[in-house]
Amino acid sequence: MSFISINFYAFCLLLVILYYLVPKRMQLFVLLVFNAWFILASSGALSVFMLITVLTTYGAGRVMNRHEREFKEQAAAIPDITRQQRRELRAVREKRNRRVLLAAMFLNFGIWAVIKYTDFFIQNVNKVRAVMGIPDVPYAHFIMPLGISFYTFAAMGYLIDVSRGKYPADESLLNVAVFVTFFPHLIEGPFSRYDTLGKSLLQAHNFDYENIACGARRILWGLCKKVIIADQLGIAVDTYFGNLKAYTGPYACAAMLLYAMQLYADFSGYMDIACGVSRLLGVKLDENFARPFLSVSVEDFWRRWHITLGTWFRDYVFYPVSLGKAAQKLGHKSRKKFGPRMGKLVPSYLALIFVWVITGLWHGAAWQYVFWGLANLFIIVFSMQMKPLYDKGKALIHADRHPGAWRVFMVIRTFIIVGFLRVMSRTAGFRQCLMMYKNVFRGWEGGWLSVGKWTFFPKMQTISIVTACFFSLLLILVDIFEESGKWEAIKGKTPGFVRALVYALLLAALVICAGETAGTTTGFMYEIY
Amino acid sequence: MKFTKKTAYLLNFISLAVVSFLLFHFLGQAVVPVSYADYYKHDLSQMKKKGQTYDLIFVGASRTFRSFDPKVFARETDYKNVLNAGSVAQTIEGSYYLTRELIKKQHPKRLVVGLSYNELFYQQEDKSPRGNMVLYDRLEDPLVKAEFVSKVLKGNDLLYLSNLYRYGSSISPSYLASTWQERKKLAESDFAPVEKKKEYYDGNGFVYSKRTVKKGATPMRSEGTFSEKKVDPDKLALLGKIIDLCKEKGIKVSLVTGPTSLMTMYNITNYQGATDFYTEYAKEKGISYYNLNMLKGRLDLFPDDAMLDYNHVNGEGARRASEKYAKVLKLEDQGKSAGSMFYKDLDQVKKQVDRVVACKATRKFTMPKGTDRKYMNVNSLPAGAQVEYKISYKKPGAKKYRLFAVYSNMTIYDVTGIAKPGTKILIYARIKGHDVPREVYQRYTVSNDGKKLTKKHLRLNDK
Repeated sequence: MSFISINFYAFCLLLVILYYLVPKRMQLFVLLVFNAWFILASSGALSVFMLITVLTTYGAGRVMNRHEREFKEQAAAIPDITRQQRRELRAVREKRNRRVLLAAMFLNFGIWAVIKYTDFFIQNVNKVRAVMGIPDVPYAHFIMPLGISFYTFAAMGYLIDVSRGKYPADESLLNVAVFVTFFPHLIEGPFSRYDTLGKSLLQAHNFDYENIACGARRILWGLCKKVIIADQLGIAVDTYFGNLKAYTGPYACAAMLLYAMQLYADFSGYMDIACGVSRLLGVKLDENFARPFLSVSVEDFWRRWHITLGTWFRDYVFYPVSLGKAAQKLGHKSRKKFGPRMGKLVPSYLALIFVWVITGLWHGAAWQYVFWGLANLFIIVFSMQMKPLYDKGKALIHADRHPGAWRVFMVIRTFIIVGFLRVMSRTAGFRQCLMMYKNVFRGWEGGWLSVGKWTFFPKMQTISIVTACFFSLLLILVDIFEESGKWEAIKGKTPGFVRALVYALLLAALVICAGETAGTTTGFMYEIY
Repeated sequence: MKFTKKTAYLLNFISLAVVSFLLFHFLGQAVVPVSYADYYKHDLSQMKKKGQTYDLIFVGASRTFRSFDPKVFARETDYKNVLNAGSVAQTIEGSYYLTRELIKKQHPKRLVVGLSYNELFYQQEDKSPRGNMVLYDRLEDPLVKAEFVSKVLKGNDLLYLSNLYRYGSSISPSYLASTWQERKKLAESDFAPVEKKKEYYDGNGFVYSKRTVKKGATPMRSEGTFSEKKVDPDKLALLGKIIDLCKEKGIKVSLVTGPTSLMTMYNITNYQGATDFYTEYAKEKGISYYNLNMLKGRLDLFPDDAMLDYNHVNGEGARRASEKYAKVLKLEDQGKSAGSMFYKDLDQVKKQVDRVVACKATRKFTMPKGTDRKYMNVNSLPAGAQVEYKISYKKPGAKKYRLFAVYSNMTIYDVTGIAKPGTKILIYARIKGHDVPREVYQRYTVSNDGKKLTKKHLRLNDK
């Protein structure tokens, strides 16, 4: 059930009506039924994988709770228990919890990894076999269940938090099931945390006009981003990337920049819809974007783009790896050989490499994604290391006298770097990616400034170009106002009738652009992950 | 005046609803172009004003609406008021609802349903929501319209009910201005026909096209396959409902397949199966079915200059098809069979027209292999004709074609020397002793691996 289909909004309307009509104690049941309906309509028989995740997550949580109870009982049973004894009991509990956690993670991440990476593994094996002259292993062609990358990570994050003692596991199967299967966050995230999402999701909600109005506005804005910007620009982007040889120089640059905008509008549009739908029910989802195209560095970009992915990997991969025994041992050795600074950096860098390799692989089962992840890491680390030199250069040109201009420079620079790197996720393979990069640097010989303005938007109708460009500028403007904190004030000052006119115009533009891409529009771009 | 929070939200919602309605309504009206539906509805209203009704009605898709000229039937038969209610991509569902509405208001004596080989398939690639909307525009009864929409439009297709969704992509100041001008002219001229791109509305639902296929230039297309397994029982049931509805009201029903190009017929696998299927079905229902592509003398009836494209006749072709079918209807009304006007089956047709002469290929394709008979002709040369061939070629990067072989009756040519990858080879064919217009040609391109011309020989006549 696509977020851009009438069926979906009929589904949401029915849910909202029933959700607020039923007694509050029944609200979670209604939500669970609709979650199940959404999942079955979208995944069919593959929904069984989600059922496994729900049951193993719930079961593992209950077992960990039992370990906690047993630990408390045992501690209470020992009169005048010493610190050492308590520590030993805790160690036993932690060991048992770790076993349960590892078993649950092995099963759930295992399912996810097998479905997602088997063909990648086979592809590499076949390359070796080809060299040895052995026939290929046939590909498995597993079909990915909807949202498996998102709900698996959300569920395992919950279990890791429980095992760390952050909060006890929820004893209610209903609560755990609703959390894992909550449909707005299934397709493209965010990576929800139980302690943040759970607070608003699992409590009863009263009907609130503010929630309905805010939710509807957010949904409308998300649809506009998806249909008016992303889908329209997608026409030109697909033309460019479908015929890489033909587009060089300024066209190759245009392709990169349009793709970056398309991806942002598509992904953030989905997030707006997901957050809007949740808000209709009074539920607050975590934000995944914080105006990433206003970033001043690649590091800053990754704090603003797909925020929940970054924080998930930080909390559940980076910290455990960097603070783990192996990394600490390596750190000690490095300190002895290379000094205290390296002793601190080596474990962090090791963890970062690990994180970015997994981030790359999470985005796609291909080496170009690994390379993309490491390229991002390289730029971040390089920037960090070059910071003293960079600050000297900044002082030399007196950049502090023109902070606005300097910020604009950094924002544009970051946008170009990020757009450049993103090409790796759009092209079909390394070869095409390199061709695209080569194309950027050739084909600039004279005359390109005189070409018609519309030729940078191949196969797009005039109305599409005008609306896509206008709305892209509008999106950037809204981001700028939000960044400066002025957006709420602007909205508040705008008279109701003017706002109604603006929303009506947005709706009209949405319907017109939807008609333009009717029959050609595809789902959301991050669905495939 | 201070409102409560609830009242404020409700007022905001109401103002949004009102503004949206006004915007969608007025802008929606402004983007609707003048279409043949406007003329069609005008004709119906004029008939109503005169107190007359149509006594012969055609329903069906584009091959119906382009093939049957009401004026010819009015002249050649006893049906004086004839309506061609066919429309682009009309589905059997559309035909059913249209029939329901028309027989109620028009009381015709006969209804003719146009059917193509894939009319009743589960999936029809050439039909789309836009085709259903063309029919929707022609329906007048709001209840019938609502029922039709609920049957054929699902999910996001319901957005087609919004004019902004249907036509909004054309929006520009010049488009809005020209649309407004056209509507004004239409009203002022009392719906006088306006020639558009060499075709015009010729009255009573028929559109006359002056366009013709360029000689030998009809693009080749691979067509589908007929199989009874592909027939959707629900669609077949709808056809049955149309027939039963008419019978209840004492209206005669006929089924017909309108003319198409020989190329299309020959390239549909099991085309004869489709004809047999409809023939059997019509027999069961006690009505007639004729496939106008099986008409005797069809080679001369529908040459290139009677074709609009590979699939439809133009105005001249429609005149000819209508004259023939008018004869058929006259015979039927006299209680006689028109079977003698038709070939028995496709094999008989093929015996009359068995030369592989082609139209200009617009893409690469492989040579026919072995005994595969790929007939790619729009206008084959007649059996018994002595055919001559001429070959020319163009190497990659060259600007012009060069002569390889002058006209002769040789059928095998060794092109080893010229068949480099990317070379285009043009084959001309003509009846010996004739020049144009019977010359047609076919172009091949040698593939990149140089392997696609079998054994470097061209076999032109694979009998």
